[in-house]
Amino acid sequence: MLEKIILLFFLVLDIVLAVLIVTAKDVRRAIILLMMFAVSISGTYFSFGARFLSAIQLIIYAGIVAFYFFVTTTTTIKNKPKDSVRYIFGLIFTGALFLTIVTTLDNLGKLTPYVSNIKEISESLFSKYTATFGIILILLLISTLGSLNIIRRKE
Amino acid sequence: MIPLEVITVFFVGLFCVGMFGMVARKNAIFMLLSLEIMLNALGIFLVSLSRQIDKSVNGEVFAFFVLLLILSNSTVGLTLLVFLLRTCKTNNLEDLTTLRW
Repeated sequence: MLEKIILLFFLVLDIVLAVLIVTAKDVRRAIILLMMFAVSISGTYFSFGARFLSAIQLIIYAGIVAFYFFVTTTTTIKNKPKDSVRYIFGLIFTGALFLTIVTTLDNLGKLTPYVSNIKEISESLFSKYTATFGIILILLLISTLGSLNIIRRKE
Repeated sequence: MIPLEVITVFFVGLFCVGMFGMVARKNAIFMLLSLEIMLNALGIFLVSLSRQIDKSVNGEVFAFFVLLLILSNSTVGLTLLVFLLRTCKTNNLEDLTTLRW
Protein backbone atom coordinates (compact mmCIF):
# COMPACT_ATOMS: atom_id res chain seq x y z
CA MET A 1 0.00 0.00 0.00
CA LEU A 2 2.76 2.41 0.94
CA GLU A 3 4.71 1.53 -2.23
CA LYS A 4 1.67 2.40 -4.35
CA ILE A 5 1.27 5.76 -2.64
CA ILE A 6 4.96 6.60 -3.08
CA LEU A 7 4.91 5.60 -6.77
CA LEU A 8 1.80 7.68 -7.45
CA PHE A 9 3.31 10.63 -5.55
CA PHE A 10 6.44 10.55 -7.69
CA LEU A 11 4.42 10.21 -10.92
CA VAL A 12 2.26 13.24 -10.03
CA LEU A 13 5.38 15.18 -9.01
CA ASP A 14 6.95 14.42 -12.43
CA ILE A 15 3.95 15.86 -14.26
CA VAL A 16 3.78 18.97 -12.03
CA LEU A 17 7.49 19.72 -12.39
CA ALA A 18 7.35 19.17 -16.17
CA VAL A 19 4.48 21.66 -16.49
CA LEU A 20 6.41 24.15 -14.34
CA ILE A 21 9.53 23.73 -16.52
CA VAL A 22 7.66 24.22 -19.78
CA THR A 23 5.77 27.32 -18.60
CA ALA A 24 8.64 28.96 -16.67
CA LYS A 25 9.42 32.60 -17.39
CA ASP A 26 13.13 32.59 -16.64
CA VAL A 27 15.71 30.16 -18.03
CA ARG A 28 17.60 29.79 -14.76
CA ARG A 29 14.43 28.95 -12.84
CA ALA A 30 13.66 26.31 -15.47
CA ILE A 31 17.09 24.75 -14.96
CA ILE A 32 16.67 24.57 -11.17
CA LEU A 33 13.30 22.94 -11.81
CA LEU A 34 15.05 20.51 -14.19
CA MET A 35 17.31 19.48 -11.31
CA MET A 36 14.26 18.72 -9.16
CA PHE A 37 12.67 16.91 -12.10
CA ALA A 38 15.72 14.66 -12.41
CA VAL A 39 15.55 13.79 -8.70
CA SER A 40 11.86 13.04 -9.06
CA ILE A 41 12.47 10.76 -12.08
CA SER A 42 15.14 9.00 -10.05
CA GLY A 43 12.61 8.43 -7.26
CA THR A 44 10.19 7.01 -9.80
CA TYR A 45 12.81 4.51 -10.99
CA PHE A 46 13.58 3.60 -7.38
CA SER A 47 9.94 2.88 -6.59
CA PHE A 48 9.75 0.69 -9.70
CA GLY A 49 12.58 -1.38 -8.21
CA ALA A 50 15.20 -0.19 -10.71
CA ARG A 51 17.84 0.93 -8.24
CA PHE A 52 20.80 0.92 -10.63
CA LEU A 53 18.95 3.22 -13.02
CA SER A 54 18.01 5.68 -10.27
CA ALA A 55 21.67 6.03 -9.25
CA ILE A 56 22.79 6.43 -12.88
CA GLN A 57 20.07 9.07 -13.43
CA LEU A 58 21.41 11.18 -10.56
CA ILE A 59 25.03 10.85 -11.75
CA ILE A 60 24.25 11.79 -15.36
CA TYR A 61 21.98 14.69 -14.44
CA ALA A 62 24.63 16.20 -12.16
CA GLY A 63 26.76 16.71 -15.29
CA ILE A 64 23.89 17.87 -17.49
CA VAL A 65 22.61 20.48 -15.00
CA ALA A 66 26.16 21.78 -14.46
CA PHE A 67 26.54 22.15 -18.23
CA TYR A 68 23.22 24.02 -18.51
CA PHE A 69 24.24 26.37 -15.69
CA PHE A 70 27.58 27.00 -17.39
CA VAL A 71 25.92 27.87 -20.69
CA THR A 72 23.23 30.14 -19.22
CA THR A 73 25.50 32.05 -16.84
CA THR A 74 28.27 32.77 -19.33
CA THR A 75 26.01 33.97 -22.14
CA THR A 76 23.36 36.65 -22.30
CA ILE A 77 20.00 35.17 -23.15
CA LYS A 78 17.09 37.34 -24.11
CA ASN A 79 13.59 36.34 -23.12
CA LYS A 80 10.94 36.99 -25.70
CA PRO A 81 7.32 37.68 -24.68
CA LYS A 82 4.96 34.75 -24.91
CA ASP A 83 3.17 34.07 -28.17
CA SER A 84 -0.43 33.22 -27.29
CA VAL A 85 -1.29 31.85 -30.74
CA ARG A 86 1.43 29.23 -30.38
CA TYR A 87 0.20 28.40 -26.85
CA ILE A 88 -3.36 27.81 -28.04
CA PHE A 89 -2.20 25.78 -31.04
CA GLY A 90 0.09 23.67 -28.84
CA LEU A 91 -2.66 23.08 -26.27
CA ILE A 92 -5.12 21.91 -28.95
CA PHE A 93 -2.51 19.70 -30.66
CA THR A 94 -1.17 17.97 -27.56
CA GLY A 95 -4.61 17.72 -25.95
CA ALA A 96 -5.90 15.92 -29.03
CA LEU A 97 -2.93 13.54 -28.95
CA PHE A 98 -3.43 12.86 -25.21
CA LEU A 99 -7.15 12.20 -25.55
CA THR A 100 -6.62 9.96 -28.61
CA ILE A 101 -4.12 7.73 -26.84
CA VAL A 102 -5.89 7.67 -23.46
CA THR A 103 -9.35 6.84 -24.82
CA THR A 104 -8.04 3.94 -26.90
CA LEU A 105 -6.26 2.24 -23.98
CA ASP A 106 -7.39 -1.31 -23.45
CA ASN A 107 -6.81 -3.74 -20.63
CA LEU A 108 -3.03 -3.86 -20.30
CA GLY A 109 -2.62 -5.99 -17.18
CA LYS A 110 -0.97 -5.25 -13.87
CA LEU A 111 2.52 -4.39 -12.83
CA THR A 112 4.39 -7.18 -11.09
CA PRO A 113 6.70 -6.10 -8.28
CA TYR A 114 10.32 -6.96 -9.02
CA VAL A 115 13.61 -5.61 -7.74
CA SER A 116 16.51 -5.97 -10.15
CA ASN A 117 20.13 -6.37 -9.16
CA ILE A 118 23.28 -5.15 -10.85
CA LYS A 119 24.48 -8.68 -11.66
CA GLU A 120 21.61 -9.33 -14.05
CA ILE A 121 21.96 -5.92 -15.65
CA SER A 122 25.67 -6.32 -16.27
CA GLU A 123 25.24 -9.85 -17.62
CA SER A 124 22.58 -8.60 -20.01
CA LEU A 125 24.62 -5.54 -20.95
CA PHE A 126 27.84 -7.39 -21.73
CA SER A 127 26.47 -10.56 -23.32
CA LYS A 128 23.15 -9.92 -25.03
CA TYR A 129 23.42 -6.22 -25.87
CA THR A 130 27.16 -5.79 -26.37
CA ALA A 131 26.80 -4.50 -29.94
CA THR A 132 24.18 -1.92 -28.91
CA PHE A 133 26.34 -0.79 -26.02
CA GLY A 134 29.32 -0.38 -28.34
CA ILE A 135 27.27 1.63 -30.83
CA ILE A 136 26.04 3.92 -28.05
CA LEU A 137 29.62 4.41 -26.83
CA ILE A 138 30.74 5.33 -30.36
CA LEU A 139 27.82 7.79 -30.50
CA LEU A 140 28.99 9.42 -27.24
CA LEU A 141 32.56 9.69 -28.57
CA ILE A 142 31.36 11.22 -31.84
CA SER A 143 29.13 13.74 -30.05
CA THR A 144 32.04 14.81 -27.81
CA LEU A 145 34.44 15.21 -30.75
CA GLY A 146 31.80 16.96 -32.86
CA SER A 147 30.95 19.48 -30.16
CA LEU A 148 34.65 20.21 -29.62
CA ASN A 149 35.06 20.69 -33.37
CA ILE A 150 32.09 23.06 -33.53
CA ILE A 151 33.13 25.19 -30.58
CA ARG A 152 36.78 25.78 -31.51
CA ARG A 153 35.95 27.11 -34.96
CA LYS A 154 36.22 30.90 -35.29
CA GLU A 155 33.26 32.46 -37.16
CA MET B 1 -0.11 -3.53 -7.68
CA ILE B 2 -1.04 -0.56 -9.81
CA PRO B 3 -2.62 -1.34 -13.21
CA LEU B 4 -0.47 -0.47 -16.19
CA GLU B 5 -3.12 1.87 -17.59
CA VAL B 6 -2.41 4.38 -14.82
CA ILE B 7 1.31 4.38 -15.62
CA THR B 8 0.53 4.70 -19.34
CA VAL B 9 -1.73 7.69 -18.72
CA PHE B 10 1.06 9.36 -16.74
CA PHE B 11 3.59 8.54 -19.48
CA VAL B 12 1.36 10.01 -22.20
CA GLY B 13 0.78 13.08 -20.01
CA LEU B 14 4.52 13.68 -19.54
CA PHE B 15 5.17 13.13 -23.25
CA CYS B 16 2.41 15.57 -24.19
CA VAL B 17 3.78 18.20 -21.79
CA GLY B 18 7.17 17.88 -23.51
CA MET B 19 5.57 18.10 -26.94
CA PHE B 20 3.65 21.21 -25.83
CA GLY B 21 6.97 22.77 -24.85
CA MET B 22 8.42 21.96 -28.26
CA VAL B 23 5.46 23.56 -30.02
CA ALA B 24 4.82 26.58 -27.80
CA ARG B 25 8.26 27.91 -26.85
CA LYS B 26 10.63 29.58 -29.29
CA ASN B 27 13.65 29.74 -27.01
CA ALA B 28 16.23 27.09 -27.89
CA ILE B 29 17.00 26.15 -24.27
CA PHE B 30 13.34 25.50 -23.53
CA MET B 31 13.15 23.25 -26.60
CA LEU B 32 16.12 21.23 -25.30
CA LEU B 33 14.49 20.98 -21.86
CA SER B 34 11.23 19.70 -23.41
CA LEU B 35 13.22 17.11 -25.38
CA GLU B 36 14.70 15.89 -22.10
CA ILE B 37 11.22 15.65 -20.54
CA MET B 38 10.02 13.52 -23.48
CA LEU B 39 13.01 11.16 -23.34
CA ASN B 40 12.71 10.73 -19.55
CA ALA B 41 9.04 9.80 -19.98
CA LEU B 42 10.14 7.17 -22.50
CA GLY B 43 12.56 5.69 -19.96
CA ILE B 44 9.84 5.37 -17.30
CA PHE B 45 7.54 3.66 -19.79
CA LEU B 46 10.25 1.18 -20.87
CA VAL B 47 10.90 0.15 -17.26
CA SER B 48 7.19 -0.30 -16.48
CA LEU B 49 6.61 -2.33 -19.67
CA SER B 50 9.47 -4.68 -18.89
CA ARG B 51 8.03 -5.14 -15.40
CA GLN B 52 4.68 -6.12 -16.87
CA ILE B 53 5.65 -8.36 -19.80
CA ASP B 54 8.37 -10.48 -18.19
CA LYS B 55 10.30 -10.09 -14.99
CA SER B 56 13.50 -9.24 -16.79
CA VAL B 57 15.93 -6.33 -16.91
CA ASN B 58 15.71 -5.71 -20.67
CA GLY B 59 13.65 -2.56 -20.20
CA GLU B 60 16.15 -1.20 -17.70
CA VAL B 61 19.03 -1.81 -20.10
CA PHE B 62 17.20 0.11 -22.82
CA ALA B 63 16.31 2.90 -20.38
CA PHE B 64 20.05 3.10 -19.65
CA PHE B 65 20.69 3.51 -23.38
CA VAL B 66 18.04 6.24 -23.48
CA LEU B 67 19.89 8.01 -20.63
CA LEU B 68 23.12 7.93 -22.63
CA LEU B 69 21.18 9.31 -25.62
CA ILE B 70 19.95 12.20 -23.43
CA LEU B 71 23.56 12.91 -22.49
CA SER B 72 24.89 13.09 -26.05
CA ASN B 73 21.79 14.99 -27.17
CA SER B 74 22.19 17.75 -24.59
CA THR B 75 25.94 17.97 -25.29
CA VAL B 76 25.49 18.59 -29.01
CA GLY B 77 22.44 20.82 -28.52
CA LEU B 78 24.05 23.12 -25.99
CA THR B 79 27.22 23.35 -28.05
CA LEU B 80 25.21 24.39 -31.10
CA LEU B 81 23.39 26.91 -28.90
CA VAL B 82 26.66 28.47 -27.73
CA PHE B 83 27.85 28.59 -31.35
CA LEU B 84 24.61 30.31 -32.43
CA LEU B 85 24.84 32.83 -29.60
CA ARG B 86 28.41 33.60 -30.61
CA THR B 87 27.85 33.99 -34.35
CA CYS B 88 24.24 35.13 -34.79
CA LYS B 89 23.72 36.83 -31.37
CA THR B 90 20.30 35.27 -30.92
CA ASN B 91 18.66 32.31 -29.25
CA ASN B 92 15.31 32.68 -30.94
CA LEU B 93 14.99 29.94 -33.50
CA GLU B 94 12.67 31.99 -35.71
CA ASP B 95 15.37 34.61 -36.33
CA LEU B 96 17.73 32.10 -37.90
CA THR B 97 16.91 32.36 -41.57
CA THR B 98 20.37 32.07 -43.07
CA LEU B 99 20.13 28.42 -44.10
CA ARG B 100 16.42 28.41 -44.86
CA TRP B 101 16.52 28.74 -48.65
